[in-house]
Parts: sequence; C-alpha cells; structure tokens
Amino acid sequence: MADYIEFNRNGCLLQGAVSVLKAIGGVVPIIHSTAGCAVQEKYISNAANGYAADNYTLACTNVIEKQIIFGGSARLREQIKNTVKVLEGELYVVVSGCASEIVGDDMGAMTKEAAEQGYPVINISTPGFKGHSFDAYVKVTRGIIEGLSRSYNQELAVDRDLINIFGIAPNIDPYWEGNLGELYNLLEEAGFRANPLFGYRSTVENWKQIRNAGLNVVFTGWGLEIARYLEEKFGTPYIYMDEVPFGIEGIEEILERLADAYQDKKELLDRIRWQARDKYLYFLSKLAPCYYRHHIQKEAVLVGPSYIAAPLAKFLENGFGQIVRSVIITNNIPRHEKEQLLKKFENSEIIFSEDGRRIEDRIRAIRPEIILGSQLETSIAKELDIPVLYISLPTEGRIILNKSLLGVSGSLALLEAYSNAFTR
Amino acid sequence: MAVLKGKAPVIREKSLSAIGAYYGTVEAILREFYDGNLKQRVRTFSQDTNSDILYALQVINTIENAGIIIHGPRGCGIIQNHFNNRNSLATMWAVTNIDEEDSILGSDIKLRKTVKSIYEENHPGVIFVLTTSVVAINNDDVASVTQDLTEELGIPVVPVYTDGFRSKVGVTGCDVAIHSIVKYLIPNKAEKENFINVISVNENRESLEEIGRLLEALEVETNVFPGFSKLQDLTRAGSALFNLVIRKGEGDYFAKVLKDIYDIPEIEVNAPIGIKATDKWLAGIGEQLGKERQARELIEKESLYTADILEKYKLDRTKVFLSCEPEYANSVISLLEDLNAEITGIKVPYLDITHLKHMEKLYRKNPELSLLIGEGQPYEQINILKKTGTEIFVGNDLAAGSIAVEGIPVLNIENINILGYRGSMVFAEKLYKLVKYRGFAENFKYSSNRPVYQAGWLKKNANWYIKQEVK
Repeated sequence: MADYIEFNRNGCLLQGAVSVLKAIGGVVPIIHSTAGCAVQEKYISNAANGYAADNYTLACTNVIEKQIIFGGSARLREQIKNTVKVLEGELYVVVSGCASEIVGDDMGAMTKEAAEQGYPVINISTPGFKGHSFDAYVKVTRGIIEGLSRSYNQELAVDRDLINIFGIAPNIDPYWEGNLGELYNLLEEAGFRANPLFGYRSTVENWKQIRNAGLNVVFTGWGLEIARYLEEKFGTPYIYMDEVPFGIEGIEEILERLADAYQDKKELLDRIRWQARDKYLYFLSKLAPCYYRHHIQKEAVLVGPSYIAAPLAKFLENGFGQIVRSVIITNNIPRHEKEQLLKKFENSEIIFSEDGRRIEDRIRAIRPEIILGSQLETSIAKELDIPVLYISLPTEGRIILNKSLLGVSGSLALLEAYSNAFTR
Repeated sequence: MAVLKGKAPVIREKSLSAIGAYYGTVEAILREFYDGNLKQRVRTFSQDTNSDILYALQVINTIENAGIIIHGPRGCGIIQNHFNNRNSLATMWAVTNIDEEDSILGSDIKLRKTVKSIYEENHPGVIFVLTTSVVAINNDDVASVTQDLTEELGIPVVPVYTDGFRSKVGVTGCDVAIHSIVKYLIPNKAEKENFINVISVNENRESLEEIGRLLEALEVETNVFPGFSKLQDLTRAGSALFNLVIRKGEGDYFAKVLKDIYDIPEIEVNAPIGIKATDKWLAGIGEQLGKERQARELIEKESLYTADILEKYKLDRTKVFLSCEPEYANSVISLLEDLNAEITGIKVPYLDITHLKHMEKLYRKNPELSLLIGEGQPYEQINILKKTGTEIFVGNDLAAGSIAVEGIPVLNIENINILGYRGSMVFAEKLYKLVKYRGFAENFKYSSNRPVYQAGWLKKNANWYIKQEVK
C-alpha cells in the first residue's frame, strides 16, 4: 500500500503519458478517460511549452456515467473516428485513464478497428493508479516504437552519423527542451545528425528513423532500458551515462565517449571538447571576482527527481565549491538506482520523498542558504528568507521557453542565476 | 432539511435542465426550453474539459485552516498546486494515492490513515474528503470513515462526493461541495443577525475588493464566503438577513439551500458588469435593504465618472467574440456595445432554466446572434472565429491559449476584475490596448507552425459533432 502524499508534485501514469505525447510533433494523443484528468496535467508539466501547451486542445472522450455503467468502447470508437478528421496528425495514440480501465473498455479492439481502416492509430494502456508520471517515458517511447514497427517494416538502412538521444523526458523536466537542443547542437557541431524525437523539429518520420541510427546516446535508467530494447530489436549500439550530463565535465564525458565510438572523428571531437572547456573557463573567470566578493559558497538543498537533482548537486559541489547539505529525490527509482545514489553521496545527506510537507520539514531543520527546487519550495524559502531556483517541476509562474542547464551555456546560465541570488 | 437528504445533490441536468452542448441561434434553443422539448446533446468529438472535482476544489480551497484530502490515484487533484499558486495561499492538501492494489482491495483503511495523520500533523479546523472516479466506481465506503473520524477527532470530516462522470457539466461540482458544507458545517438552527451573506465561490481578490468597496458604501454588513473565508463565516451563514450571490452559476445552490433551511431570501440582482448593470445592481440592493439613499449617492458619484473614462477607450466596430458565464453574457455584451464593439458570437459553458430571461433579452437585442454551449472545446470556437472574422476574443476560458496561437488576441478575463465600476474601467482599458497594439498577435498570423486543426474541419459547420444524445 503506497503512502498518501501531502502537497503532491508528481502526476499519474496517464498524465505522464500526456506530458510525453504532447511533446512529439505530429503525434495526437486521444485520452480515454473522465473529464479533468488531462486538464490537470497542464499544471504539473512545463506551463509554457510548445504548440499543444493548452490542454483544452487535447482530444478526450470525457466519459460519462452511462459509459461507465455500460462500457465506453463505443464512445472511444466514435472519438477516434472523429479525431482523425478534426485534429491534424500523423500518428494518433489512444491512452487510457483509471475509469475506462476499471470498467474494462476494449481499447485494443477499437484501435485495431481504426488501424484496419487505414488510420495511423495505436494505443498504450496508462491507468493512473498503475504508476507514476515518470514511468510514462519508457512506456510511451516503447509503445510508439512498437506501434510504428507494426506498419513500418522497411529494411534497415543504417546511417552511421544519425544519433538518437534518450533519457531526457519531455515536460517532466522544466528544461528538457533547452537541454535537448544543447545536445543536438553539440552533435551537429561534431558532424553528426541528431534525430529530434521530442519538441522542436520532432516528427513522426524521425520516430520511424530511430531504427536507422548509428548510435543511441542514452542517460539515466530510462534511457538504458530503451537502449537495450533497441539494441536487441535493431542492433543499434549505445553510449550510456547514468546521469544527465550537467556541468562542463558532463559534456566532456559525452565527447570522450563519442570519440571512443567514432575513431575517425576523434580529432574533431577532441578539439570541440577542448574548445568547450576553454570557452567555459573564459566566461567562468568573469564570475571569479564576484564569487569571492559576495562569498558565493553557500549551503544548498536540492529538491527534484534523481536525474536532475543528483547530477546538479555534484556539479555545484565539485565544480562550484558549494556545500550540498541535502539532496531530496522526488521520483520513484528502482532499488539498485537508490543504492547507487547512496554510494555516490556518501558524504552528504540523500533523502527519498515526494511529500511536500516532509520535504519542507527537512529543509526547515537544515536551514540552508539556498534551495534548488520547485514552486512547492517557495513557501519554505519565504519562511527562511532564502532564494529558491527552479530546477524541477512544477514551475508555474516561471516562463521557461528554451533555456538550458546543459552544456557550456547551460552550465554558465545556472551559475549566473545561482550567483545572482546573492549579489543583490 | 429534505434538500440535503442525498449524499450529493441532483445533477444540474436534472435539477435545472442544464445542457452542455449546443451550437445554433439563441432563438432556437429558447424555443426548445419553452416548448418543453429540450434535447440533451453530446459531442461525438470532444476536447478535454473540467470535471466536477475541479469546481468542488474551488469552493473549498480558500477557506482558512481547511485541509483537503483527495481520495484517489496520485494524479487526482494535483491542480490544487495551481489553485494555491493563483490564490497566493498554501492551503493544505493531500492525495491518498490509490494504487493498483487499493483499487482492487478497497481503500477505506488508507483513507482513515490519511485523515488521522493529516489531522495530527496539521490540526486543521475542518477536513474535506473529495472522492474520485475510482472510489465511486468501486463504491468504497467513505461515509462511515468520515463519520467515525468526525467523532474521534472532534473536527468535522466532510465527505464531498465528486466523481468526474455523473454530470456532463463540471460546474455541478460546486453544488456537490456546497451541499456538503451546509449539511456538515452549518448548524441547523440560527438566530437572525444584522448582516447579509455575500456568496462568492471563485472571484479573485480584486473582484472581491471591488464588491466589498461598493457594499461598504451602501453601509451593509457582509459575511463573505466561501471564497477567502474563515470557518466561522460559514457556520454563521444561517443567521443572515439576505443572500447575495455574485456569480449565480457557481453559488446559487448555496442561496437555494440556505433559503430552504433558514428561510433567507435572496436579493435578486444581475451581475454588476458595466455601468448600467452596476447602477442597477446597487439600486436593487439598496431598495431591498432600505439603503436607497446610499445607493443613489454612490451611483451619482461613480457612474458619470466611469462613463467619462470609458469614453477614452471607445473602439471602432471591432469584432469581438465573447466567452463567459451565461449570467454574465448580457451585461458584458452591453458593456462591449457601449465601447462600440461588434459581437460576432458568444459561448457559455452551459445553459439552464435560470438563464432563460437573460437569453430572451439577448435575443431581443440581437435576433441573429449565435450561441455555442460547451466548456473548452477550442476546435469549435476557432471554427467560428475564423468564419466570422473575429478580431478579438474575450473570454474566461482556458482554451484562450490555443486561440491566441491562431493570431487572435485574447482578453483573458479570468484573472482580472471586471465587476463594478472599477472592473468596467479595467476591462475597457485592457481591451483598448489589445486592439490598438497588436504586435504580439501579428506574429502568429503567418505562422509556419504545423496547423492544429484540419482544413476540412474548419470548413464544416461548427455544430457538426454536436448530436442529440441517444438514450
């Protein structure tokens, strides 16, 4: 029995699926659920994002009482048939909510029926009670790849320079789009072709091309899961880093790993790596006087999902001399990942909680000088009269368009914001 | 107390013949109502819309020292973070986090544990338990848990039976929450005292400020609830001399129940939007409460002054589409017409028998006017906006975001005050600025972004997917 959650910040499996699906160009989610489920998703994902930011545009069956009592399959059939005529899309993905799953609507049959009539429709089962918004990333990504390969069976035509990136989940991370953009730029600078699967420039065609990539670059446990699946299915090799590569060292590591995999580009990749460090240090040196004048060596608490909070904590500690008092991990990660984190943070506290009240209590007890967290940490920050920087969702009221925390400019932007919190 | 007998009130479709889907002339729908031939319609294509839970939350989530427990899977009620942010409050809330195991084995133990723990840690003055679709379908026992814990903890633990599917109009959720508030929080008997109830569910702070300012000028003692109220404001509601409801669609059930139980009459006035309607609102309240002189003086002082200001913001036959509550439609349209705008159409989230007089007035003024009924549903609105050449969208609806990217500027009236004299000025000024300075909206006119809607749909009649419900 899972515990109750006070001031919850993480959505359900359906909401996570909506977060991920609405970030893919050409993909139209069709929500088979009661009204209100997906409306609420809007407020946990990045409030300012993309064309489909407005959840009131999402196709939804809004099932009503009689469809609960007598079943809602017919309603879904009708909704699918009409969605393909109203909303522009190349792939329609039916996702299900709790009510429709409990009453046992046959989504598979309805989807199959539409597919047989030639419409590109697939379905993924995502009842809210079955998981966490974070679980949706792998589920949806795999679901689409599998769904597409049923109708798209062309021979592999591997392009060595085409690279997929997995592990940065759209709308479940406030800076996902800027972070991905930064990685795409890096790959393209090195003469690769990035295959945008989420956000700007993403298309269903790109999803069909996943199989033809020469390499998958993956981060976090999610990315690894997808990479293994793709290796087995299409034989694509992969580079895996267990964390999102924040900080200059993260970028250097990617470039090194790429150089190992593409010996013919080693020289170029080494040069880019050297330039990145050079540029980073050039700008960092501009910060140096301010760093000492304002005594920017602070005690910090980080609150967020493991893939954001943990690597940022390491970056701030190792690369910026900050004192990380506690890292509060708010997502559900498997035990082995928990153990890994505990090992990595042997010398600082690491807590696993998604309960807003418990998180607040812990921060109150620590009394840090700065919080890197979400909108939900603003009241404790106000109480302690300390600054809060947003690194995790929800971030309502803060507009984040394509800002990145990754790469040279992303790292500098983070340090800039961190320092500015103390220079007033 | 017959009115409070059920665990939840009768849904609006049944109690008020509410409908949530229609597109056509005002005349045709009035005819259906009057001929007793009202057809319940549904959408065969629909976009995401608000559920009763979202409305019920808004009734209770600004009450001071209240705790809210949403009894459902983890995603349910997460919008409360947004409400807290919008209201600059930190109202305590929790979700019981029903998982697969609970959904099979039942969840009442979990609810019990949650309520107790929330009570022990936060000591709220009242705990509301909102149910969700999973709990409703599984028929989990909430009543006995809330009853037991009310006795055990010594504070009211109030069940609010929302479910997300019983009604097609989300606003029913207001009734569900109000039903429980009156049933569990307001004492059965009350001595009359010298104040009136001002029932405000969802007005923002600016709106409440303006209403408060006007009523203060009338020298009226008020008890404002449930919006930004204290528990004792609710418990003394039975003692009021009159009820005044600010937005009837949300708060009317309060007035109805309070009338039924405590025989509190309602001051029947229309929404104070625009100069004329505000004058009338003040005069009506003044007459009812014997404060005619105060009302007259206030009207004299502010009415002309406001009219002078509005003069500065006159438009040049700008084509405006309006989306707002049905009881606001008349007043907002009058205000828009005073500002020399041309109305291309209106949308209301629902319509019921309490709005027929408003609609009649609307029809007499503008017999050709077409009316869209539905909450959200930007696909229909964009279809109409494009066909009518609408230049500005005025609305309270969150579909505003998707209308904006079609290159049509949006006056979002959700987070500003449009009530009273001050509200009229704010409205007029913001509208004028949008019309005159179009730089932002122009960006989207020649957008290379992928279209959201298919060309085929935009050519169809906007009522294409609205069909008569098959019983």
